[in-house]
Amino acid sequence: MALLVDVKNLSKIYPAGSENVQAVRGVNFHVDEGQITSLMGPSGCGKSTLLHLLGGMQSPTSGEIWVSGEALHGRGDEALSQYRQSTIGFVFQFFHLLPHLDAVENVELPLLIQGMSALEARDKARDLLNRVGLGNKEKRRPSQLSGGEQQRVAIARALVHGPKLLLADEPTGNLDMANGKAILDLIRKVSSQQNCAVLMATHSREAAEWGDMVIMMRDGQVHGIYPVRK
Amino acid sequence: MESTLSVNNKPNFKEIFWRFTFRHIQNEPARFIFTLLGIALGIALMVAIRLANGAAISSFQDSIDLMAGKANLSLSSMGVPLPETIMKDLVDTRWLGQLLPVVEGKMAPEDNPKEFITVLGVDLLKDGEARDFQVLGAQDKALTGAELLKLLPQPDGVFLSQKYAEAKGLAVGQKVHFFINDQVQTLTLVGLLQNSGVGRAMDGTLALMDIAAAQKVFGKIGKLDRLDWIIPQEADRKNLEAQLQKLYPSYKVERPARRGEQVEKMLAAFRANLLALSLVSVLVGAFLVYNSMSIAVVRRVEEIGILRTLGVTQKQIIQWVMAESFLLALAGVLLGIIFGKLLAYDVLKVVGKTIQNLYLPIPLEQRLPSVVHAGGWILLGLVLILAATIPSALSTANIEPGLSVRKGYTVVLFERRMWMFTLAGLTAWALAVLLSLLPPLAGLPWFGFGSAFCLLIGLVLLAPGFLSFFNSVFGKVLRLILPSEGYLAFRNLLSDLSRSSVALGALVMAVALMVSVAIMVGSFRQTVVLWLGQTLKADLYVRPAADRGGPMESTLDPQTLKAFNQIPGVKYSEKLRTLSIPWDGTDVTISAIDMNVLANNGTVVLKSGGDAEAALKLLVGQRNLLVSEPLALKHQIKTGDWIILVSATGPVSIRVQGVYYDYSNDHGTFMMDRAVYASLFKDDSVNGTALYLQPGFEPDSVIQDILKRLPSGTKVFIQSNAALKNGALKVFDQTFAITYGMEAIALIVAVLGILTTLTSLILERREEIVILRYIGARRNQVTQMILWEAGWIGLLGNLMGFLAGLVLALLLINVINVQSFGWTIQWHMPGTFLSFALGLVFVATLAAGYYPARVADSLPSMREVTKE
Repeated sequence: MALLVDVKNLSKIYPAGSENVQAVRGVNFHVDEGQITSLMGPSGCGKSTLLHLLGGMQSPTSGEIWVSGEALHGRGDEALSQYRQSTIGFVFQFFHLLPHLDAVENVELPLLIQGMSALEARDKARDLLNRVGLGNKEKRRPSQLSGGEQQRVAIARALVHGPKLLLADEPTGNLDMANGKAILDLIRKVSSQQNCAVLMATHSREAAEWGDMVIMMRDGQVHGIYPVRK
Repeated sequence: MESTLSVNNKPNFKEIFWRFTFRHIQNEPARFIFTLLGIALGIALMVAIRLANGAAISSFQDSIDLMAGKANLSLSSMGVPLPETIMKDLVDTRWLGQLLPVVEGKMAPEDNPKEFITVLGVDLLKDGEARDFQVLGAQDKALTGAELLKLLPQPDGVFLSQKYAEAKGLAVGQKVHFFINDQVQTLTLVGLLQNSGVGRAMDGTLALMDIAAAQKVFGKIGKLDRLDWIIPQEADRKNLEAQLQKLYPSYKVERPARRGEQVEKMLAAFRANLLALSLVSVLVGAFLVYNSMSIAVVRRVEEIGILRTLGVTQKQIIQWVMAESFLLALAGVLLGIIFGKLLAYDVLKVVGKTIQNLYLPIPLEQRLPSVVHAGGWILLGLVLILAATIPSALSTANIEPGLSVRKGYTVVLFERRMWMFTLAGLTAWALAVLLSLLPPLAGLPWFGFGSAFCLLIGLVLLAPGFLSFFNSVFGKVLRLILPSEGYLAFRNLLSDLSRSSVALGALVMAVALMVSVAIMVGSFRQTVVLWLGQTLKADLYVRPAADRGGPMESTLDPQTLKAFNQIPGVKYSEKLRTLSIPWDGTDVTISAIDMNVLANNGTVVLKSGGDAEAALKLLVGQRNLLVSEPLALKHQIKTGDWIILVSATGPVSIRVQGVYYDYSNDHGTFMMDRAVYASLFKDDSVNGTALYLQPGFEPDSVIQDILKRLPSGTKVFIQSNAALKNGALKVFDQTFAITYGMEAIALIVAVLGILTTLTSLILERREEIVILRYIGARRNQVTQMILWEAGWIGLLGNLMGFLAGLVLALLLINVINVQSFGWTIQWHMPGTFLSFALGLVFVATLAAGYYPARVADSLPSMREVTKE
């Protein structure tokens, strides 16, 4: 498998009053195309920060991030926004759907941001909604969907524009076990259809072992990288 | 492979904008409507003032232009008629162009002496070359030259405007009675002036007579008021103008078109002050928009965070917010223009009345210019409002995508930056102090306005710091003494200073404006009341009946004056001559009074010049005069200076004996002994007389006696001392009526801002409110908490606004007023009015809390409280 993401000696420091908080410290790892990798560690170990750095939502304090051979570190807002538009899909623990848009409108949003026409965007969005099993609920607003359904919509939104890398921050954290498993299976299914790599942050061992690789984190550092025995 | 980092996609902006902006309007219609109304009200006021000002100026200029016609040079006497023989002296000027003599007069209809008609006596056969008029006979048929010629010998013939005749139900041939000076005269309506040209001037209150008839009717036989020339060659006109100025230094020689410019100059300060006041309403509206957009951004932090996560750039977010702001601003401005156009008619009536009372007694046409006339100010208003949205738009750029989905981020961001607001506020105040020390610019207090503007902006910037400071001083005490709802409400305001302080700031600004204007007007009124009490000492004031409305231009017959001395009960009669003369590039009033009477029975209030009685006695029979305060200030005249007046006998030097307070006009007055005036200006006419009564004689009974004993046909208008004072105060109150209206609008806009802010704060805090209910708070406790929040804003707004209002009042009284008008105003606090007004503001803010309280009441259940 070809190399997709290569992280070298990555660090992120936040100012917090008179002290600094080192959220990520000298992290090194890589992710291959189509690979499903879990980031596992206790709360506050830096998983979410690492995802945000890989998603171009924050800039590192030091270190390097290479995606498809291009440097992400040191880039400006325009370039990072373009990166997020075309390369990344993000799924949050609390879904973060836009409450005043219905399901299909939430899903088509990334395509409209990319400049696609409304008709074409609507078609693609419907296709994704069907693939996540919500084709008959496209006009429902988030408040009219269950937690599991909302997360499905969020997954559809994250994948509608064909990203290369899906970043998922505790995607099952707000769901019961049954729904959580269903969501993980869905992520695997849809991302593999698009040859999209997945990097998922979780504190659950069960969720972590659902992927191909596990990266163990503690206190902002990587403590081990292990393949998952099937 | 295409780089993932190169920028080449343009979003489908239309679709995204539609989804976000219009959906939000659908979801929060109240916020949108209130913000829209706030903008609209502010703009409406500014448009109305601008249009009314424009209508007034253009109406005056129109009238002046129509009366002047094609005449491009005029020589006038300014109150003292020219001898007719001047025509002979200037006969040679006819080879340069047309020379047209004019007699002017004023008359009042017997059935409504408060109105007046201006009469131009002209050579009706020749004057048509200068002035545009069409004369109509019976059945509105145009008169031919021959028919007009037949009417000319009629010694009492008058041509009234068609508009006036129709309004009064007058027909050609009818006899009409008018007061002219102090006599009733019967004139014959021999024709009508068509409703165009001169017939339209002064809103139809201009009449024409043949010059000979006018001379007879107005007692000006052998006299003229003006000579007009139509000189085709500009070089010839300039030469003649220069020659006339040299030959006749005591007369006014000018290009008639310049009168319009002079009118503009005369009204400049008045108009500038009105516009400045209206701008404050726009400012308050701009803060309302700032508040509204800040709320919009904060409420959409999560949304913006998601969009940023999905790849929308900072620049695109800013563009979206600015586009939404522009839409809101544009809609508000358009609505404001519509409201403003409707409001302008009422404003024109008020403004017009004030201008007529204080400056120019020319009736106004009730005709507004097009809205384009206010275009510049509308654009300024739009720019101010858009500028108010820039901070909110720019603030979105600072929010990193990852953090923005975390609640409370913007609150932390604001608190970290609060020191910048405090510093900016203090800087604005320092600038305000500096600007207040600068002199007027082109005769207007532009730096004073700038100082007031900086003061108001500083208030808003300091509002968050003030809240913090208030908490640090009183927080612990409040916690002990207040009920839980009250204390929680106060802490809620502190918890989101970025929004609560803006709403507070807008209210503070409006309250400061209200307090300062109330103090200024109250102080001014009290000063005028005191001044009237000190200076009006006579028991009765008599004017010719023709002068009941408008300026004192008519005269009292010598027989009438003689008769006053024979009325039982009249101890002294103090005669007055008042007229306008050109002096030092402006028109100044001369007030010539029987100083021997005034010095012993009345007084003036001196600003400088020692004892008033002594100063007045030094005017008796001497070439000394007193200068009014506005004139002294504008022309830097001091006690002891010598000024030159150009009299009928040539330039004369007259000593300034003192400077006196005078609130009757702002362009300035020279007060001198009437006997000295008469000898210098060869004019012994009298415009009015003040009568001092013997002890024991009642004014009302003496009035009756006077009216019985006057020569037959003599008509005068007599006012008692009390009636004259009341009349003066009525004019004063009318003048300031418009400022009260403007303050009310500014307050309404501010209260709308509070309503919007509180509603949004409630919606933002819905989780907290639901949690409160779950831990045991009763429904009415939550309602009370929100009302307390509104109450806190009202209380703190009143407190801060009152203190700021005191400072702003000092600026208005001691800088802006002085530089605009030149008057000294004694400080006076209208306690009753302020207590009532501030109480009303407090109640209004409480009422503004009622709607958000209802919103809090209807919040959804705990199911909503599941987010992080």
